[in-house]
Amino acid sequence: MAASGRLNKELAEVGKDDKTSGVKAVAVTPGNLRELKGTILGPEGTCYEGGVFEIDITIPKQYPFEPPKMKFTTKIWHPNISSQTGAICLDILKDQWSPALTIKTALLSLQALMCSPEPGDPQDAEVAKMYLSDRKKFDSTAKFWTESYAQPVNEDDAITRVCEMGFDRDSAKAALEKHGWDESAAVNQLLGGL
Amino acid sequence: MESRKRQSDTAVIVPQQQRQQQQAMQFSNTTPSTRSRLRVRIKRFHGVAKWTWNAGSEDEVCGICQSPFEGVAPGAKYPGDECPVVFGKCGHAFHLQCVATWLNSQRTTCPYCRQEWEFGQSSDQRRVSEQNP
Repeated sequence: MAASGRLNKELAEVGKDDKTSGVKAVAVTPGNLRELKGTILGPEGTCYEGGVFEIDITIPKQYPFEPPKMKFTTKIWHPNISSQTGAICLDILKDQWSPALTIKTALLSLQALMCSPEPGDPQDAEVAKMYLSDRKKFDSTAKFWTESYAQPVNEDDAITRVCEMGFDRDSAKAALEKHGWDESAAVNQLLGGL
Repeated sequence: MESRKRQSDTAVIVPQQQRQQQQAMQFSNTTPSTRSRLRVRIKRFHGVAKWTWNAGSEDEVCGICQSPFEGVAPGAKYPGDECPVVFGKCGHAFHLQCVATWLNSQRTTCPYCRQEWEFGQSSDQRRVSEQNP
């Protein structure tokens, strides 16, 4: 309860310039400020350019005295992010957290981490090894993962495709939203509901 | 007429027929002329005072709770003395409650500059300015 004033403010703040900053955060379900979905646009000039990366954000009870818990839900090839689980190795999300930091500054720090990986302090040893030994291969893998997993979903197109299978627009949209725009999961739900 | 400061608290009777004139004068914001025979005395006034913490500009917020310094930190009931602003030796200011919670969570540094936190001088932080109605 104590932090909800600050959280409300933070979410309003992060939405203000999301077009220019390239990061945003919204509540997963309206009214619950503890579960957020963050989005980071892949920084220009990196292997992540053109990608949209989603981050699960959980706000602990002690926030802002404890850091927000963040984890990539979009697969990403990066030395400091687990290619399997999306876990992030970033000091400010751990022992270097300060209550003067915010969700927005944390997301901006992640964006900066995407620009300059720290292979010396890896989260994913395999990725870090590749980064250090075969930079070309690393770059092409990271690019390939961006193109494969981090492409923005055109929501209208997805709704239209599901509608073409014989569902009405409203339920198609609701099912897609529920399943994070995963079309087959949405169709499965719609079929199960028949 | 005798010109009086508006803060004067002298109570008076204002003759009925002069009231309109007096109001007109007030509304047009004219300085009372010495030639006027009108005698204005303030019967009642409403004093308003304003205070701020002397911690940076007025719209600055506590870096921990992001509420204004003049506002209330989480856990405090009332603004002001119940929720004072304290300074570190590094010069950074926070609500007492906010920085205390931080220091109680096994951290010892200033949230802004990460220097070891030491409480600095907290004398005479408050500035009171009075405003006339």
